Amino acid sequence: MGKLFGELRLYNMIQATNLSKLFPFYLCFDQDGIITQEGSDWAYYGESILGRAMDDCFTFKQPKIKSLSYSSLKSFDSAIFLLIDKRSQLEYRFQLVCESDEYFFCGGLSLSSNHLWDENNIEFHRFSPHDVTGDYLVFKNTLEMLRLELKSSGDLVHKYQNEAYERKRSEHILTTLINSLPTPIAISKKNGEIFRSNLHFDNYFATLDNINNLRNHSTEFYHNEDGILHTIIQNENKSIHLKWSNSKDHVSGLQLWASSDITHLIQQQDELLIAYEKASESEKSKTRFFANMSHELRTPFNGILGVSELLLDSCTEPHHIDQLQIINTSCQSLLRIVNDILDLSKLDSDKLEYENASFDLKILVESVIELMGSYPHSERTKLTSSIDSNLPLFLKGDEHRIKQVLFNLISNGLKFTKEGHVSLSVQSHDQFVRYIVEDTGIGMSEGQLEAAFDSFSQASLEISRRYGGTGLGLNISRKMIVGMGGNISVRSQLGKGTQFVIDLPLVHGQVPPQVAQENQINPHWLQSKVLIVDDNSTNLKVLSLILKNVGVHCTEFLSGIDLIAYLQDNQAEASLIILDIQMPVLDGQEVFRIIRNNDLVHHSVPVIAVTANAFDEDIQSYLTAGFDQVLSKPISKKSVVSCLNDILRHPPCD
Amino acid sequence: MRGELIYYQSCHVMSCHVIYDRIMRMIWYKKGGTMYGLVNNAFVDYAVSQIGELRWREICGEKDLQQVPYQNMEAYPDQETLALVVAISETLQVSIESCLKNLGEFWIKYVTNSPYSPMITKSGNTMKALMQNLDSLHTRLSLSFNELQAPSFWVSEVSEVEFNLYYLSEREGLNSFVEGLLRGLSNYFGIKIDISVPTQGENGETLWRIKTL
Repeated sequence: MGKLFGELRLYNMIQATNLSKLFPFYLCFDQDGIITQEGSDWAYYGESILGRAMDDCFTFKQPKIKSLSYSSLKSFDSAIFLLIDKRSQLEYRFQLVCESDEYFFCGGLSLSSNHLWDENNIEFHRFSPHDVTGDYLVFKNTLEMLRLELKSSGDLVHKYQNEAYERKRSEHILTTLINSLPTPIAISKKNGEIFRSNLHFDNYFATLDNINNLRNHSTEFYHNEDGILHTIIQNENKSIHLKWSNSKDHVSGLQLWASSDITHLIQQQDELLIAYEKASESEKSKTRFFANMSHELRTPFNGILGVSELLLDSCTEPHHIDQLQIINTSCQSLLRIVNDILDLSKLDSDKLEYENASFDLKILVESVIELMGSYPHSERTKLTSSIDSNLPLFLKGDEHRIKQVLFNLISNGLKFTKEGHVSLSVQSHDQFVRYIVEDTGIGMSEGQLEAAFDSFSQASLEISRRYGGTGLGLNISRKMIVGMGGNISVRSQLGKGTQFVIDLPLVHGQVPPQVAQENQINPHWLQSKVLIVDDNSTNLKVLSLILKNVGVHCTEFLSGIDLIAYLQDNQAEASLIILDIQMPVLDGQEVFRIIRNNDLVHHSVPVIAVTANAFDEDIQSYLTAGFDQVLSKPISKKSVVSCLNDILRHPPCD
Repeated sequence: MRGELIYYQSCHVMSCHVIYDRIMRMIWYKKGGTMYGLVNNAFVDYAVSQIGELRWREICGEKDLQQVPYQNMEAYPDQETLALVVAISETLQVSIESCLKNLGEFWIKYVTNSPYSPMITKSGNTMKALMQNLDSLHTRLSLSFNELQAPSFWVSEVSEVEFNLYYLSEREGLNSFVEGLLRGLSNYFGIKIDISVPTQGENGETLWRIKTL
């Protein structure tokens, strides 16, 4: 290697390898143009050009030397040369340094060929650190990035412009939309500040700027049981009821407050409430009416039934007995109709309560059949009964109501069957007790079947005329069965007969307490003195006759005042008092209170209430008031005996 | 600063992430440096890739972070970048250390898939060459990015498959980020590497031994 840089000491320091670090693309050639040294990167980017002629490898772009005369190169010492690599077409920028017989091209890749750098994938560090070309290359890339950045910023601006336009459009739509809604709507920020509102809102809440102050702008402000906000405001002398709902947008933190005008709904509710109150009042009046009717109807029944029974007991003349039985049976029928009407009124107002006590199924069936046996029916109609042996002996339920339904169905069967049979069979059916009442009577058509359970409905007017009846029985029966958790259905064929099927829940019962047959009065009463009070002289007479008939001595009073006066003088003589409830001036309850409060009789002397108020709640209220027993009108010998005997089983406490 | 660093290291040994995070914040805030928006955008991209844009917007709202994209060529205070890192780590329920590691790895993926990829591709065709040339690249880049506060990396060869990587930065506590970068680069070059536990050099530099497997 020859000397470089004249006399510079650097020459001694710089070896070929170090020169490569300064100029990775340097070249050294001799006077004949043969390359004698090359920089390290020539080999890195292709074949080594060591030993080859400069003319073969390069085209001289500047100075424009077509055929290089190397002997004349010295005159170009220190000049800049631009050479083009014939293989890669890359341009190089060299400074010529002549030293003795050797020529050095020091430099590197030229800026003008930068488009080829990328194609040849030349890395940044191929340019020595002092070479600004490397800096340029990075800078150029940075500029490219900046260009892209600007483009993307431009895109972003365009995007935001579009978004802004869309937002404006959306806002316009939103404004139009919320203004077109018929109720106040507002959008609030996190702190409650109202951000947007519609015209209705502004109309009602013109000065409201924070939704949290809504309370102050309302006549009434409350949350209902579901936590929904309600406000009432005054507008043009009218109360406007607004029901609010709000929803929150978690991204923006905005809250939408939408109200609905429920003024009309509230008015309707108020009207409904008034209508309901009126209906309740009407219902109460109806109940009062039925209670009075019950009392007024039962009072004469008491006389008719009581006296006819007593006459039947004492009468020996067959001709009279028949006539008395007609009176008695007719009266029983009339009483049943009255009871039906009263039951229906209670069923309609859901006031009928059902017992849940144990009963003997066999006794129930036998008593129904026994009673129905005496019901007037054709001699050619046979009444039968059967009980499934799989059924338990004792069931739980309302024995009285079951009987009532069965009486209804069987009496219907007997009424409409001139020949054949009416049967009652009780079967076990899944979780139910199935009562089947079947007859071979006149039957019903499909149309008649559909209306069978309607109230006041009978198969036809002709039937009504011919067979009588109110048409209430089936309707009451169905309501009672449903009330007891059961179901009733009917199948019928015109001219063939009818079958009623009742399913009631099967609930096992226990042995019910035995009730003694009440035909004989307990001898205890034969020696006692019974005081009886009734303002109605007929009823007083009936009761007196019954008591005397069973051997009990009694003293009669036509008012409570008379009784009180008597007791004040003859306290010790009373052993039982029977008081009618509904009496003028002093009613039975008032008389009872006076007797007890003033100890007019010993507290162990029992007092029985006699009443035509047959509703369960009436009876219960008398017992609660302190009466020992209640005797319902119409009274019979049996009911009086039973009542008196019962008092001895549960005597008043001493 | 040295005193703080020692304190930080002792906390690190105690694995007390809470104190560690607090110290991290303290160190970054004290520096008062700047970071180019390009880095912040990469971090936001990572967050969005993990939790979706909608949730990230919610978090920006909650934590008062910038909602619009950062300007890539604009320098932002370091606090902004730190707030992003803290928000991401809290949202993903990972320590700041693991969060930085994931962000480092993501950064390489982000850059090599962006217009900035020539900066990587033309800075070395091996991981070692790239790490060796990184300082020169940063120096040259500072011509365009005047506020660039780049760290320094240098390399010493141990064997054909092993080299030492030295790292020194004005920002402290970012070793995990560098480890993430190394993972990202190994993925980029398609190689598997083993990174040693970092040690501290005499001049404050951090040293890792990198072995190609």
